[in-house]
Amino acid sequence: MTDSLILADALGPRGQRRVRRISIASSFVAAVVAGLVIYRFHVKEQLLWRKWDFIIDQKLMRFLLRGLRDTISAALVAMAIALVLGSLGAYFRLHPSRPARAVAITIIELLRATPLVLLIYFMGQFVPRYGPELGSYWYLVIGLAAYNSSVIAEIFRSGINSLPKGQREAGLTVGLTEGEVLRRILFPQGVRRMVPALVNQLVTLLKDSSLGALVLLPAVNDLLHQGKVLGEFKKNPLQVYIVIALMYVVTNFALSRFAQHLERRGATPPR
Amino acid sequence: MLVWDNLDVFWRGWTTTVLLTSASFAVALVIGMALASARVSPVAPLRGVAQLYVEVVRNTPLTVHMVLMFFGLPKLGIRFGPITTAIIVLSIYTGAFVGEVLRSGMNTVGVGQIEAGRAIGLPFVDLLRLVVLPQAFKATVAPLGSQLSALVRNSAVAYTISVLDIMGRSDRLITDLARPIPILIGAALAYYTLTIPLAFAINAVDRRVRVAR
Repeated sequence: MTDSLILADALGPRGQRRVRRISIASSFVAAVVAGLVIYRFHVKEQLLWRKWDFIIDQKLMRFLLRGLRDTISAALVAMAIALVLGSLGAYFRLHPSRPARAVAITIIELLRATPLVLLIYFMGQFVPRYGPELGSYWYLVIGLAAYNSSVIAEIFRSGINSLPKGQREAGLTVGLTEGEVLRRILFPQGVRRMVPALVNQLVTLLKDSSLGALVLLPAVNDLLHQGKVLGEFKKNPLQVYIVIALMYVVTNFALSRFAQHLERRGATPPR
Repeated sequence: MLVWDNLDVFWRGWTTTVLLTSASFAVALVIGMALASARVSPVAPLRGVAQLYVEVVRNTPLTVHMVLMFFGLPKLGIRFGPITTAIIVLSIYTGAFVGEVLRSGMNTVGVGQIEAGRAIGLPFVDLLRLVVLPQAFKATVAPLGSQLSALVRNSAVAYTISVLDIMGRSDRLITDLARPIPILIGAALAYYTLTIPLAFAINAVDRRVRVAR
């Protein structure tokens, strides 16, 4: 539906000819640019097969895929924790008691205003100093979970706010308290509405989990880190990073298609 | 007090963060406008290229963009300093998101407006410039503000390619002084001077635009 917006009528013969001309011209420009890039790669000897042959080396590809596994697992674990903390956050954010709301707002807004890099760096220093030594993987997960709880709290809140007002009023009329209305009527519906947004947030999480490879010491063995190691070992960082980027793109593209599918299916929610 | 004693260091980092953010946002707006225009144009190859750009860039982690450009470009004989590289990367990355924001803003413009523009014979470019974009802008101020706020926070990733922004300066201070916790809290406060006023501004604008509609 949103993809269909094109600012032109069905074109007449003149318009069609013009569009065809612009099409050919722009395809030509795109082809030239792509050609120049490939030529640059060739001139600088970056197309040599020995710089790319790792993509058919089973052992090396398995090495990279092991990284992808850690990337996905860190994102999923952080997501699970963030879902729990985020719904708690949304609950208190909408709570009838004013102090509870104020505390929730302060925590959520401060977390959202902090760069995620800084938060993960902080967890890597703070947790082992004042808490258990869990290892980098968990510091990454804790940092991701803390930040995403605040994001998910806001997603839930806007989901609940988008419900028709009658839902809350009806709940109060049948004698439920404000808290019960929130827990038993508004939350279940709001969450269902927000499933596509949550899947999209998982895409963001998958990308953000790569910070563990650069910010924490020792680095988390995620896809980016495995790629870094491989690039240093084979002395071809350019090629490895391109392949890594494509692996992220494929994973995330599949996930966001899944989100779109959910969105379309849920477009007509049962009222 | 550690933070207070090193205020000048934080200040230098702060100015770099502001430079990174403002330069990247300016370029990202241009990229975003070009992408959004291409995606609603009647020219199929332009739509295709713009969509490919958005899908690829949005689905790649910012960190991977950073290391790819920082370690990859020199292999192609293209050399930029860390700050320039960071600005290029942040612009390319944010541009994809800005493009999507602008496009969904255009979708909020009523079909009647577009039909009326066409009925009086406006060509595509004028229709975009005179009718669609000014109205789309209203619907996009708040989401663009969120993109700017995200950019401020994302710019911290530049420290991984040795840019001395707030995060980079803090990282160095931590190496020198071995007092990570107070320094990181200082760094967070430095970012808050940018992100928190921005959050308030976005809320205020959002409320006003919503009333106006």
